Amino acid sequence: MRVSNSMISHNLLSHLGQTTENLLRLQEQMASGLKINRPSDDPMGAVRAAAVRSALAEVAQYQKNAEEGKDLLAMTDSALAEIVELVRQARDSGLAGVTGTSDAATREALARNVEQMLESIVRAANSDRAGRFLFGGYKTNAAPFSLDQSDTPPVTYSGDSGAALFEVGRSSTVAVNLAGDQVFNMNGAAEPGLSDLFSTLDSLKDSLLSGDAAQMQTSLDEIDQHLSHLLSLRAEVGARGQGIELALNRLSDTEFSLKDSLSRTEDADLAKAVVELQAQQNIYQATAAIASVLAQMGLLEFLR
Amino acid sequence: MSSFSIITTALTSLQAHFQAMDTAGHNVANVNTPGFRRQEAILSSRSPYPPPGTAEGTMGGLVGTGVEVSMVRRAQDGYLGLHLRTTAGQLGQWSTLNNALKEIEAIVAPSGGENLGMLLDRFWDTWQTLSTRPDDLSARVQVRAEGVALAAAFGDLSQKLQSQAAQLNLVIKGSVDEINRLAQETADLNRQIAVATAEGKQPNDLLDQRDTLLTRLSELTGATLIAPENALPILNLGGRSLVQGQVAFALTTVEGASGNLEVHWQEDGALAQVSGGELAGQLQVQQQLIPQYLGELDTIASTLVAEVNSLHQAGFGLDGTTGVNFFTPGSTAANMSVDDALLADVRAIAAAAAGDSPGDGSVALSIAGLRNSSVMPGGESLGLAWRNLLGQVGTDTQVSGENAQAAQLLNDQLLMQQQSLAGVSLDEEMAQMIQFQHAYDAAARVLTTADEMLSTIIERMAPPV
Repeated sequence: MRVSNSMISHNLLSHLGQTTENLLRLQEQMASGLKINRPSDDPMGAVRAAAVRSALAEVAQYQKNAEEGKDLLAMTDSALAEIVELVRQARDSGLAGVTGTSDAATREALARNVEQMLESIVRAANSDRAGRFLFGGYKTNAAPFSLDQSDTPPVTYSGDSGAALFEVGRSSTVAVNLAGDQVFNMNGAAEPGLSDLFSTLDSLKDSLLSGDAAQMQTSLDEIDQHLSHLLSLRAEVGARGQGIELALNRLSDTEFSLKDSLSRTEDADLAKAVVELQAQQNIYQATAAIASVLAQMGLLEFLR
Repeated sequence: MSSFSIITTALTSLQAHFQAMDTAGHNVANVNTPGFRRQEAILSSRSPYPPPGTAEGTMGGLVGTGVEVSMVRRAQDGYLGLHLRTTAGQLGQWSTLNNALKEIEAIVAPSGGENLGMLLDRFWDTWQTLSTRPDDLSARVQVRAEGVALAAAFGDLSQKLQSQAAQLNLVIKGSVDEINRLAQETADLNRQIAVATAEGKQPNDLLDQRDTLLTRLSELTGATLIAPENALPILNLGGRSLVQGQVAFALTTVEGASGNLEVHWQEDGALAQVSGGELAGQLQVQQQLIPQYLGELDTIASTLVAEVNSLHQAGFGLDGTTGVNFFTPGSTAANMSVDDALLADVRAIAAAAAGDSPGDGSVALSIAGLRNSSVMPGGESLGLAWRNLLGQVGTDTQVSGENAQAAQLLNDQLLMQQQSLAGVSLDEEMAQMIQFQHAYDAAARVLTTADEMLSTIIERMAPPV
C-alpha cells in the first residue's frame, strides 16, 4: 500500500484520540466509583438503578414510619400499664370496703382513695407525646377526657374513634393508636351494656361512701371486666409492636438486597478498571513512542 | 538534421524536468492541505523529426527531439470521493444528533446532581411523614417545600429543553447561511472549471477546491452529487438541485407556528426535504426529539397535578378548609406551582378525611400512595414514566453515539484509502526530486558537451581571422 504523510499523522491522531477517550472513561469510572455515569452509558442499567434508588427511598421512609409507630405504641403501652395499675389499686380499695368489717371513716378514706385513682386515670388517659394526645382518636390536639366529679357521668370524652394508620410497607398499614372510647368503653363503644370505666369507679366511690355493699360488688365485677378488657388491649398493642418489628426486619432485608442490586447495577469494578487503565496506558505510551519514531523517519533525513 | 538540434533537445529536457520539479515542489508544499490530491507531471517524448511522410534527407530514420510535459495529472481515487461524501453526510447527521442529545441528557440527568425522579420520591416521602404527624406544622411545611421544589424542577427542566430548541434556531440559521455560501462558491468554481476545461487546461487545484466544498456540503445536508466528474455536476438535495452547473439555488428559513425554523427553497417557497447531514440532525432534535421529551414531561406533570389535586380536594385541612387544590390546577410542566392558598397557610394542606380531625392523616397517606399507582395514561406510575423518559433519552443518546462512531470509523477508513491513492508522500517526492535533479544535471551536461563539440568545429575548423 502506498502510504502518504497525512495518513501517518491522521492514523496516529485517531488512535491517540481513541486511547485518550478510553482513559478518560476509565478515569471517570474510578473517580466516581460508578460504571454508569449518565443514562447513555447503559440505558437499561440506568433505568434499573433509578428504580432501585426510588425503592430504597421508599424503604427508608417506611422505616421512619415504623420507628415513629413503634414509639407511639410504646407510649400507649406504658400509659395502659399505668392505667391498669391504677385500676388495680382502686379495685383493692373496693375489695377492702366490701369485706364488711370497715367502718364509715375507713370507707370514706377508701372512697377518697378511689377518687384519687380516678383523677390519676384521667391524667393517664390524657397522656400526650409532644402535644399529640394518645387516646383522642383523630382529635389529637386537645385533651380528650375532661373530669367533673360533680357531674354524671363524671368524665366526658371529646375525642373520636379514629385509627391512625401508618404505612410500614407497600400497602401494609398498622394502626398505632387506641381511641379513648374503645379503651375506657365510653358510651359502650367496646362492650355495649357495660358502663364506662370512669362511671364504674365513680359509682364504686359513691357506694363506698353510702356503704351499699351490693352496689360495691356490682362495681367490682364491672372493674374486673374493665381490667380484662385493658389487659387484652395491652396484648393487642404488644402484638402490633411485634408486627412493626417484623416489618422493620423485612424492610432491612429489602434494603440490603436493594443496595446489593444497586451496587451490582451501577458500581464500577475497580480491580477491572485499574487493569484496563494500565492496559490503555501501555497502548498510549506505545503509540506515542511510535509517533516519535515516525516523526523522525523520512528520506529527507538522509539527504542532508 | 541540424547540428544545433542537440541544444534544443537538451533544452526540452531542462525545461521538462524543471516543470516536473515544480510539480513535486507543489506537492511538497501541499502535503498538509486538506482535499489536495497529488499531481504528477507526465513526461512524454516529443514528436520525432522529420514528421513521417516528408523527405528524410541523409538521416537514417526518425530522430528524437527531446521530452515534454504532456499534462499535469491529478491523482485519481475512483469512486472514493462519492463514498466519502455519503459517509460525511451520515457522520454529520449522527454526530450533530449525538452532541445535541448529550446536552439534553446532561439537562435531564445531571451527573452527580439531583434529577426530577429523586425530587418526586422526596415529595411522596414528605406526604408519608405528614400521614404519621398530620397535626405537626413542621411536617406540613416540609410537604409544601418539597411541592414547591418539585414544581420548580418541572419548570426548570421544561424551560431548559425549550431553550435548547430555541438555540437550535440560531444553529439552523447558521447552517442554511453556510449552505447557501458554499453552494454559490461551488457554482462559481464550476464556471471557472468549465472555462479552463474549454481552454484545454487541467484545472487540478480548482477541482480539489470543489471537492472540498462538495464534501462540506454533503456533511451539512447529505446532498448527493450526480455525474461527479462532469464539468457541470448537479448537486441533489431531496429531489431538487442545490447546485446545477453554474447556478446555485438558495435555501431560506421560515419561522413555523411553534416558533421553530423551517427550511424552504427561496425560489418557490417549497419545504426543503433535508434527510441527511448536520442540518437534518439539527431539525430532528428540534422538531422531533425535544417536542417528544417535552410532551412526555408535560403528561407526567399534568397527571401529577390532576391526581394530587383530586385527592387533596376531598380532604380537610387543619383549619377545616376543604376543596383546596394542592397545585395550581391545569398546569403543565412549564408553569407548575403550588396553590396560593397553601403558600399563604400550611394549615390548608388537607391530610384528614374529615373536618376537625387533626390526628387523621389518611388523605396524606392516600396521596403518598400515588407513588406506586398506575395513574399515567399508559398505565404506568409517575416514577416509572419518569424513568422511562430517562431511559428514552439515554437510549437515543447511546444509539446516536454508536452510529456517529461507526460513521466516523467508516469515514476514517475511506479517507485513509483516498489518502493512500491521492495523498502526498514526502519520501516519494524526495525520490522523484533526486530523479529529476539527476536528469536535469545530465541534460545540462549534454548541453555542455554539445557546446564543446560545436566549439571544436567553430574554433578549429574556422580559426579566428
